[in-house]
Amino acid sequence: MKRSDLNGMLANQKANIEEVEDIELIDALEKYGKNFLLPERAKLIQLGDKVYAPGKWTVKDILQHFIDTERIQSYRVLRFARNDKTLLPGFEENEYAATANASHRDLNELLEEFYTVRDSTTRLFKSFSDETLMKTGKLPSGDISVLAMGFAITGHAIHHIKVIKEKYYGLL
Amino acid sequence: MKPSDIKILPNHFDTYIKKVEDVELFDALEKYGKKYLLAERDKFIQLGDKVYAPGKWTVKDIIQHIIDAERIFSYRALTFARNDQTLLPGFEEDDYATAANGIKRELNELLDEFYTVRESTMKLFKSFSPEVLMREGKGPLGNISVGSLGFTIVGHAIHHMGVLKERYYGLV
Repeated sequence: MKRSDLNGMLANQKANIEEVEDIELIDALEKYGKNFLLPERAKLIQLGDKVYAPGKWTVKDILQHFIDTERIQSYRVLRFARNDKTLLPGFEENEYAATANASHRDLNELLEEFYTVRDSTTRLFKSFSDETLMKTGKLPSGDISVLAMGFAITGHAIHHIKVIKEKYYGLL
Repeated sequence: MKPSDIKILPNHFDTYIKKVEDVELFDALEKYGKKYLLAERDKFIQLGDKVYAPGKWTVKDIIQHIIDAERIFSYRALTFARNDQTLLPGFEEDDYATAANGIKRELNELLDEFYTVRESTMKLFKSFSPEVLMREGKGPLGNISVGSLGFTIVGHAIHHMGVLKERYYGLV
């Protein structure tokens, strides 16, 4: 199913979802996965721990953030796909980033983890029928469909790579 | 970290943790991952949709259940590793199995998904320091540490393989 098959999306997910063009979800997850990050690898390594203003996340923090988010989002998707209507908890992204302390990690290791997590996400969505993609579940911000979550996952990574290109690449 | 490093075994999940010998968590995740299931592949294929009593799960349902549980347990491990003290919800495994309808899936596709999910789990646990592995969070059945969740993931799959060998293999 494509982005145009969505009938409604949560306000706070709209910006992420609209980062993705109107293509099949599985194609989007693949297009904006490993192939999307690999060309940026050399620049990401060059950047190291540089930030464009004090207190901003490093490139490693950002990668860790979208790995964490994708793990959480895909967990939510699984629950929705299994008809589970439990209201699921949110998470504080700044606290997660501070605790994760990604600056101590190796950039290549973070990239490898992202590729694996994306592969795991893609396989999860591949197992869903169109009917399952239309199922909804409950988040603190409101009800959202499995399909919308898929595009939100894809668009969230696109968003952060854009920020890196716009605000960090100039530091090199 | 080894199972013998767990000071207090968690409720309910202690059964699974005890299935794992006293080895390092990362080695246990690897040993009981892809290689462990691949060795059983031919038997699984032979078994097809056979069950040892009416209403029991098929091999595919069991693999789907192992995958779902691993996705949920590793989400909990991430949350606890990030110092998040939110009480996390449980899940009804029979409802999940019914909704997943694993019987309609290809066995090889399920196995491939398991391998990917396990790789994703290993990368998550590899990123944790010994200190992080000792952190506790609030699971639906009581407090549990990140490391205990890791051994639960390993032991849970071992438990289900044991059931398959004991109750299903006699059917082929």
